[in-house]
Amino acid sequence: MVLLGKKIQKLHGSSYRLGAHHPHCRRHHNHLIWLLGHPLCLGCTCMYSGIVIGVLLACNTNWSGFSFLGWVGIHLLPIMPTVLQPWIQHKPFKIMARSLLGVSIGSYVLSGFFSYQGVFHPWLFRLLVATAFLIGFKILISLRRLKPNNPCTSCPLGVYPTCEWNLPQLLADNNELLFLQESLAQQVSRDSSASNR
Amino acid sequence: MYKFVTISGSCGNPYDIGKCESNANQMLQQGYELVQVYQTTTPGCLSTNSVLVMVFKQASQPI
Repeated sequence: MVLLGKKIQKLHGSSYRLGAHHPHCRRHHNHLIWLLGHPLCLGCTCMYSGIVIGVLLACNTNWSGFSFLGWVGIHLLPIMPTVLQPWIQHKPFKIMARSLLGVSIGSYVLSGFFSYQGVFHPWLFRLLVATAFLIGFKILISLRRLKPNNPCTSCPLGVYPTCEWNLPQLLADNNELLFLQESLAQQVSRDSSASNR
Repeated sequence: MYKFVTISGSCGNPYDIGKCESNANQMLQQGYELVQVYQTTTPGCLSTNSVLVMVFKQASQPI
């Protein structure tokens, strides 16, 4: 593949630790949760744990006592911290927000598809549940893009994967790329970054 | 002598080609010429993210 007249070469040495989804440097501490000395993606770990809790809660809830608005409200409320989270970059809040998001997703999907008797025909109700889920997902992703949080921005060590923190790994895994080795050694500065985020 | 510019996609979206071009033009105005492009993928929360690394060299020196 060619970009701007230059052949794109494959770069190695930029993968993360398994399940981390982020570099495990200190600047990314807000994105990671450490379990038994292993970094894990905070968002995914909390959300998937929350999904398990949500599914268990939904299985043990008698949904017949809930009105339609009550059922919607009880699943919308736990999403609110995630709506606010892009503006509140505080690790405990993020853990709480992602966990509640998971609880909501687990309970919403399970009860919406299998347990709750909606006001419409069951299959129409399931279609609405799926549609509302996708719309909600898109809205949350859009909100996240409004306030991006990229720890590499303004990092004095540069931008991953060519930052100083990852340099030993990058050099070790790209022995064959002599030009890369030479250019990394003669970098003018480490502050150039441009992210889509 | 060299400058690195990293352009990454987000949440399953590839990096923006238009952004690559505008960065190359901006760097050219600062006297840096694009000499090499690398691409890598990193595992993300929903899917893998593509990352483009553009290497620029001071145009006053022989490339």
